[in-house]
Amino acid sequence: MHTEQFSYHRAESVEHAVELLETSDDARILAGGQGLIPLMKKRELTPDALVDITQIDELRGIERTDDTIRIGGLSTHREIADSALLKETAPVIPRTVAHITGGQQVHNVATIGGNIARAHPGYDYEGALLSAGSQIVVSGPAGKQRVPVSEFVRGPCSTTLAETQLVTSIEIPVLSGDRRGGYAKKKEPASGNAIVGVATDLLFDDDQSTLVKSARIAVNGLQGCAVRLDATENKLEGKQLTPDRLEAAAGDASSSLDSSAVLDNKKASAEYRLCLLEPQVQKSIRQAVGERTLYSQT
Amino acid sequence: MTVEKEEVTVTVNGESHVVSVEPRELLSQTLRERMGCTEINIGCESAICGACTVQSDGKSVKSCTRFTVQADGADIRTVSDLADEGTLTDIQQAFTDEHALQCGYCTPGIVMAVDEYLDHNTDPSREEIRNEALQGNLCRCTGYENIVDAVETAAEKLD
Ligand SMILES: Cc1cc2nc3c(=O)[nH]c(=O)nc-3n(C[C@H](O)[C@H](O)[C@H](O)COP(=O)(O)OP(=O)(O)OC[C@H]3O[C@@H](n4cnc5c(N)ncnc54)[C@H](O)[C@@H]3O)c2cc1C
Ligand code: FES
Ligand code: FES
Repeated sequence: MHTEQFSYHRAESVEHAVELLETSDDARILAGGQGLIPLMKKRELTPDALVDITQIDELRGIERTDDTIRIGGLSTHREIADSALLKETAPVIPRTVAHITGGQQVHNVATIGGNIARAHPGYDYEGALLSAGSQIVVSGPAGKQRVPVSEFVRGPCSTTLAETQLVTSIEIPVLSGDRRGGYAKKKEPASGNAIVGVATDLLFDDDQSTLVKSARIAVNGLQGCAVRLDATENKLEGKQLTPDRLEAAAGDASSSLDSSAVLDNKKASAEYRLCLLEPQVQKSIRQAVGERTLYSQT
Repeated sequence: MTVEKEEVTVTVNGESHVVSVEPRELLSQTLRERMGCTEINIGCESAICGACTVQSDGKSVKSCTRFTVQADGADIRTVSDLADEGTLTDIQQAFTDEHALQCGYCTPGIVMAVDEYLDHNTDPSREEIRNEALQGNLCRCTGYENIVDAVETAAEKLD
């Protein structure tokens, strides 16, 4: 199955990519192609030019600079899942990637930049990036800009990216303490996308402590954009975590949400999505808590 | 729309080729139609079933969802390159011994994915075999049980 015709351009640098994007009315960036090529085959997208960014070295690499972790926009799912640095400093990210379907064939080439730029509500990265407090770094004709992920994604498959901009990296703040992550997902059976995916980023003092210094929990798949679960976070933050508190926090998950904004479509009804929320929140928090023992308060 | 053709150099099963392709030509097409690699099977054409899996520089990819221009300079291997003058690899032998195929349509893709997977994880659990090694491939015949057996057997032999 073909796509429509297009002209192909290989960008050598970020500036070159921006120039190439500017010269055509309907150019698109090609990264891993795992989202774009199927859409082009279905004629949902018919760009007249593709700008291949995969040769741009400055878009690669995962490194720590002072108080920030920088994930290059071309980092593949495989590289992120295997990153020892991320497992230690922002574990919610690699935990989430393990739930992205499509197999190693997709993980070998699909990129974090392509995933967040597509902003599909069933994709998994957005919730994790939101829970980890990420900024999306974008470059375009006017230079470089940092946009919090909560502003970057405007709605289902819609972002603030201009046609001449690209995602160059993702930045995550480093937190001091014992940072733990979890991700729990109910998959839509056919596509593997999330009907509900819950990302948890918890901070403790050390690997024994049960005092939650900060809790950031976000859900994707539920609404058009990923959203933080404020009520659940408030029940946990600054508190000693006990089995009862964990359950109560998960039980409150939907109380701070606008239930009229819950997606209701042929993949899953709003009612079903909401039913899935509490158990998935529990599962995600438990994964983040990990091996540490929680004591009931007497 | 007339587009310029692109010249692509690609090594396929050890042999170097230079081809001139429309940018939209898919790697699966180049391999099947120009190079006679009909061992690559085409199922869903949309990155789901994995029947078209080949290895590109040692990494498995779904060739129906790669443009040939993206493979410029790459070293591509298909399942035909695995056996050494008729002697099957441990993975291929395990698929035979465990009856891990019925129609066989999915097999070349699965074997290439598993071949890469067992390089990274030499001692996978049955759950990992299902959720990781076989995540990117569909089989419509076997019900997977024998495929999981075959991957387990192959992993034991490779140790
Ligand atoms: C079978 C299958 C199952 C999948 N399952 C899941 C899943 O369970 N969860 C999940 O989260 N994802 C899933 N995906 C999507 C996948 O994880 C990729 O994230 C997705 O394909 C996009 O990444 P890409 O690098 O392939 O981008 P491309 O396909 O190359 O691009 C996607 C879009 O983003 C644009 N783009 C790409 N890179 C940039 C950039 N740096 N800056 C600006 N715009 C850019 C492109 O122009 C295009 O519009 C699945 C994909 C497949 C094929
Ligand atoms: S034919 Fe390529 S993944 Fe199905
Ligand atoms: S053996 Fe027939 S599809 Fe797998």
